[in-house]
Amino acid sequence: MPSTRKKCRLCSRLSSGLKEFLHRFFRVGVDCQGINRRTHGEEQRVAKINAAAPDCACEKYRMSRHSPCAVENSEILARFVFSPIHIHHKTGNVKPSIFSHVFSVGCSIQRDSVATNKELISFANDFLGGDDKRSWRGVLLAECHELRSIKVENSLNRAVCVYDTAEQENPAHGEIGQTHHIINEADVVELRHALFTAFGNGAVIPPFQYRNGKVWDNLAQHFQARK
Amino acid sequence: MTTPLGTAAAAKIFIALTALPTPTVSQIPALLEQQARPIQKTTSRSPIVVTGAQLTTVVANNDKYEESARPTTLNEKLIGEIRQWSLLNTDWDGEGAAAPSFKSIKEVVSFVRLLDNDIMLPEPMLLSSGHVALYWNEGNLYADLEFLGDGRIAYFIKNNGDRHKGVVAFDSQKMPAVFPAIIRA
Repeated sequence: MPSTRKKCRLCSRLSSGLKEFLHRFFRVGVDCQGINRRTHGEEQRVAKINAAAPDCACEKYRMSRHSPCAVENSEILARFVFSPIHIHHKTGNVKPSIFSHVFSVGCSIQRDSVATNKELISFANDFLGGDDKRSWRGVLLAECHELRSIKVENSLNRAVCVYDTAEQENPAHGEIGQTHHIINEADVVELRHALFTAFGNGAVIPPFQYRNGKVWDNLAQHFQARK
Repeated sequence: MTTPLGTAAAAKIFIALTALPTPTVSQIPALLEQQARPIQKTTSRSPIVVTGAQLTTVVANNDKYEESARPTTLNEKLIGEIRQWSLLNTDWDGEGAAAPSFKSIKEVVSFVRLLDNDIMLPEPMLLSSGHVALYWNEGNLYADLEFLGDGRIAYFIKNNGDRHKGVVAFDSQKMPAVFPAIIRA
């Protein structure tokens, strides 16, 4: 048994390596699902995706077999706010810091246009169950085409990609990642502002208003009680 | 042999006892703080009060009391909040964030100390990289200053339609000339 498993793992590595080679040198196909799997949980995931599939090449393909389809421009994307540290003391709005994962591991979003209430309830319950300090503060919404049209000053290239990085238990999961055209630190800060603007300037939709409260009403009571 | 006290003598002793200074109980940090704070003379007999935002100590001095009282400034509160972040660990947001950078925290604290009174106080931000940033979003002003922890600040500022961005050196001693002019409301 162990030798068979070893063989399969080796085959899989050879196969994905071959696909990557073909893509890199002959632009034949892109193994987006392989890229997604290999970079999952890595600190420099966004940079690695950009290196393997530059210019948002994987937006055209499903990046996960659990995903219903690639993210379309017409979709509405939701960034769930769980961490009180991102809330502005005075205004109660969300701060631009909520988007800082865009530059490293990818900024998680939920595909509001394809997610069912049941999936979102399960996602929120799972995330809140991970730490007592988390509380659901609301949701920021943006249109996908608006995100895909972001460019930083003095650049003709796109600044972010939007991928469908579905998980088995969260099929509506997606991710925003910066492109390899964001090079210097000032671009990073400008991009944070652009994302903040695209997501409604941090004006958070309270949980009880989002989807007419259908997600909030079905959240475990002890999670609702958290402030 | 004992002699019984007269009413007048007993009253004198009672007055003398009540006139003794109230024993003060104060914590060492409070006493240390007192040295650096201005002292106001007052005849108030208010007891020691130590609350979250205000520190007051009372010292007896010939039936008069010196009271040092100074509320924690907003700058100090801001610095306190930022410093608390150094207690956070990796993955403080549940999404894989890096642990806060001590160097970045140190730089931002120095920067807040250098802020003039006519510059409105910013909101601090902890980024997933572990860097700390300061953020203003009031009226026509939007500013985001990220402290990179290596003696540099990356910034993006929008003020009345003008946009400024760049990276500037910061030695923690002197406010970079670019900011006061742009950030001042």
